[in-house]
Amino acid sequence: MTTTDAPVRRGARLGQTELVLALVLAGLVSQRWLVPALDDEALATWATTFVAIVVQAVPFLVLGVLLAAVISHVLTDRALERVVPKRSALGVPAAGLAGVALPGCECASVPVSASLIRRGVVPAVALTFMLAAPAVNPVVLVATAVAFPDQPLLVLARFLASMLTAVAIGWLWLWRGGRVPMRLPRGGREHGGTFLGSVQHDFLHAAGFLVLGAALAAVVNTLVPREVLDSVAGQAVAGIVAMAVFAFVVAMCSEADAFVAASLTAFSDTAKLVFMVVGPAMDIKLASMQVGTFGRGFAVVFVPLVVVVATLSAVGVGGWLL
Amino acid sequence: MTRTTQALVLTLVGATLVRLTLTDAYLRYVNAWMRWPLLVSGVLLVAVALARVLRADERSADEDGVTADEHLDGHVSRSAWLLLAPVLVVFTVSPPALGAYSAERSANELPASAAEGAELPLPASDGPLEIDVVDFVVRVQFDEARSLVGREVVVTGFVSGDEDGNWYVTRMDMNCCAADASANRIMVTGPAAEDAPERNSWVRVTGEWDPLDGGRPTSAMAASAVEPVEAPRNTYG
Repeated sequence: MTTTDAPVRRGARLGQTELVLALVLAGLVSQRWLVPALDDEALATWATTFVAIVVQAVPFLVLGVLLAAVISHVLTDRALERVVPKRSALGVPAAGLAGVALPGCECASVPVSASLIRRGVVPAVALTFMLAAPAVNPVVLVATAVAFPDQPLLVLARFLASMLTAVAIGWLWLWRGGRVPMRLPRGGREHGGTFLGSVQHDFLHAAGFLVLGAALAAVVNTLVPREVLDSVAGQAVAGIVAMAVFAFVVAMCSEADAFVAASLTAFSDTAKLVFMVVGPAMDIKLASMQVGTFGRGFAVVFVPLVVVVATLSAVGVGGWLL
Repeated sequence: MTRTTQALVLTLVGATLVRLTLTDAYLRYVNAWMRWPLLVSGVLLVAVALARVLRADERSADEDGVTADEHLDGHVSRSAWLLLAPVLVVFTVSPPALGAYSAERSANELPASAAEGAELPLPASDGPLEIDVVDFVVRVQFDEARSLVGREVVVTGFVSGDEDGNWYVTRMDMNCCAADASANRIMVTGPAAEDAPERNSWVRVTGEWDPLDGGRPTSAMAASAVEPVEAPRNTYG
């Protein structure tokens, strides 16, 4: 950077910042006219659901990017080596079990696993952790037990099917994952960033995609009445497919999905299990965040693969236990 | 997105979270226990943004070079602009708590876990007994002892309707956030219910369980009095 073009760049920066400020101020000033104009029930319901998903997820995302920054900047190589097993084939199930220890929502696990990969952890191991953490932690299992008080087997089935999904994806990734392109955003200590720098960077990056996913999930939530689901509840296969699709599009946090599954009384237990296994592993907001974090080429393969594997393992475990 | 803009966006998101927790506004979207996580993460986001701006000023004062950290800033994806959407929605539209529109579209199915507590008899009372809408609905479906029979109860909720012209006293119930909320509602019948109150307005209904024509137990009450009330602090539950 030469001294001559420095003032030019500074000028451009100020322009952008002022534009954002002007936009926000304009929004504030115009709300007197905007609010009556937007007084449509469906729109208001969409806005409430959209804000609710974002507001619910942001604290967990902050926790996730802080943890990711600790992994990137504080953890020494030796400490990391001690935590992550050397042999990847064993590292995959170990990472699945480690997921029990992170009681966060799924939004936290995306930046955490990205930072693990940046630190040189085998992607298959980090991805297994990412899939397992939101699904098998104690908070989620207790919530499931409360939602289904008379069905302890369902809690066990959920744990097993989610763990099976995470480990199966991890091993698949070890075997064939090398062919899938993965583009990690730059960051971390290797690129000379600071601790706060990567907190800010990771947050802005992931939260933007979270907002996109939340907006889409809120559309589904607002416009599609639940009765649409009940029309296929009686059929075994259609019910299972419907639950997998529903889990993907409504993007519910994993602590709450058991209660929703319990209220879908018309569905078989296996279909409910599919809903609870697919949801924490993959949904529209996670897919959106993964496009942003790992690149589109990665998400095109990973997202459908996880949905299919999660559905199959839920059906398998459900058929065996329930 | 430039460095200053990034800090500004981060500050706006943080300030929005803090703003929501300073009043009861956050209760429209999430559970009461989320107040502290929201406040803490909001303050943290603002603090990170401030620290970054202050440190950037220091650095440009003593060395006018571009550090690797600054280089990194150029790589925040364009998606970060989307963060302005929830900020603008909160400050301009200020979305209300879920009401009749959601209630009329969500199925009224109760999970088995709701049955817990329904076996306890209703507590004795001199006058009408104040109970929750959800308590009433659960007792209608699961209480074998039928302890609602012949008891005068009072419930509070907002007004929703259906295509047959009936109206209901309604509460939304959430587990995690408004996205997973479901409705519990009691059809209001009887002479006191003839003039349906305005949709989405809050009412206190006094009456007795009305099993309608028998068969499958239905959540309905024959009202002896309907009076308008203020919406409670937390409209869910």
